[in-house]
Amino acid sequence: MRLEGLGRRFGAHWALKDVAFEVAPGTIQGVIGRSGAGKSTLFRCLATLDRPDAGALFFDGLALSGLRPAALRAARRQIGTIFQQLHLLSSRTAAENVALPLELAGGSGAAVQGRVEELLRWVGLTDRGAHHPRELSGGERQRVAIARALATSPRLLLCDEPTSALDPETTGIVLELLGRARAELGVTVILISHDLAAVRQLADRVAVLEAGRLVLEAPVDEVLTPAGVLRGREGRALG
Amino acid sequence: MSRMDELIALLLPATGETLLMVAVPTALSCALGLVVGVVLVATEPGGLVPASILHRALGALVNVTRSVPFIILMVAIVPLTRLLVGTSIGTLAAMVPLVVAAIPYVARLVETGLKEVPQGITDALIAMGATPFQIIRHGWLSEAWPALIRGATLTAISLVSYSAMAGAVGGGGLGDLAVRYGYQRMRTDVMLATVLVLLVLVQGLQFLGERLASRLDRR
Repeated sequence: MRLEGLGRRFGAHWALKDVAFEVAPGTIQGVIGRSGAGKSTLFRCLATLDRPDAGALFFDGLALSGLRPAALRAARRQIGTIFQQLHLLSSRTAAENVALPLELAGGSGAAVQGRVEELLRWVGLTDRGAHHPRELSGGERQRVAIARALATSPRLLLCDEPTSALDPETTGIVLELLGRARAELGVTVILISHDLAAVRQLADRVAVLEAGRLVLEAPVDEVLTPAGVLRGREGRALG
Repeated sequence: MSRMDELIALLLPATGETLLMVAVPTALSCALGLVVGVVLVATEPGGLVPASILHRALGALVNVTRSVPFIILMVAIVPLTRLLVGTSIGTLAAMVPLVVAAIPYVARLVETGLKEVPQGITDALIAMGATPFQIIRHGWLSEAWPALIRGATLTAISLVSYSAMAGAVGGGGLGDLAVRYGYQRMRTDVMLATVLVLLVLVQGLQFLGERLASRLDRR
């Protein structure tokens, strides 16, 4: 994924301006910033939910904003997305939620069922597949969302605040799963979060947003101390 | 023939006609109103497939149809009724204005139900690479199902009331029975029995609709 001079405007206000960095395949890229720094706007652009007003977004060498609808839908299937609010379908069971991207891609029958069982096993929810989201704990719902995002074997996993509102133990499980997604499945991960400790634990490189602009993009060690505090600006609260 | 036998002999066919005048228009108006409601939501500005001219035209048509009182609508579309079913009198003829009156009602209920589906569900499906049709089918309709069932129940109950009105002008059914016997011949027993049957019908529909909607509601 490569961002070139990315900008997004709401009226006269630029929520994102001239944001440029590249995420190398197989790495985990953290994106941090205070509330209102543009993290959510960036997430929506990366998930192709919003069209940038300036610059371009390249995925696998393709300019996403120039793609025709069918090609854009095909590209979206290569990007697994985990929303902050998860957005699991309440009318579907956990297994049916995981199956959804596969059904949308035209899959059916035993192939879908086999893949769903494999993914539920991978996230440790083998025995919870028949339950609806409201019957699952917050951590279990988060794991269903991860399984769903990985269903079509995407090359990029896009996560918006995946550990918000989770207890420390569940946060650990979610971060471990994201780490395993990279290590075992070779997925590139973009982790947008205000949880600096989580980003410190997982990311290879970190982009720092401030008032819609990219103020720093560097290896995690240069951006955050081992305790998860911004280097050179210790004590400063983000988020 | 005893008075009770006579009452049953009057009520049974009239109840059958009312059930027919409620069931068929409910089914047809729900099917057609669902399409209109989905199109209204999908074509709104910033919607799934924005088409402002179609959205405004359809919205205006729905509002105009809903503004016309049923008794006037019934008379106003007599030519259409004759064209479609060959007559303007009887149970079959009454169904045409009932369907025409209920479609915009259902469309607005569907619109409200679909708008209750969180935007995030649409976003999630877009991000998964879903087509607009897949978003409507797997996201909107699946998630709004309980609201749609409640809307169908409301429609059926409204049609019970409308069917009684249609009956008064030659449509048959319980409304016709209540007017001819209960009012014109001052048969209070027939009037009370008709009201009782209508009451049971409405309560039954409400009970079944609510039970089905609650069963499907997984939120």
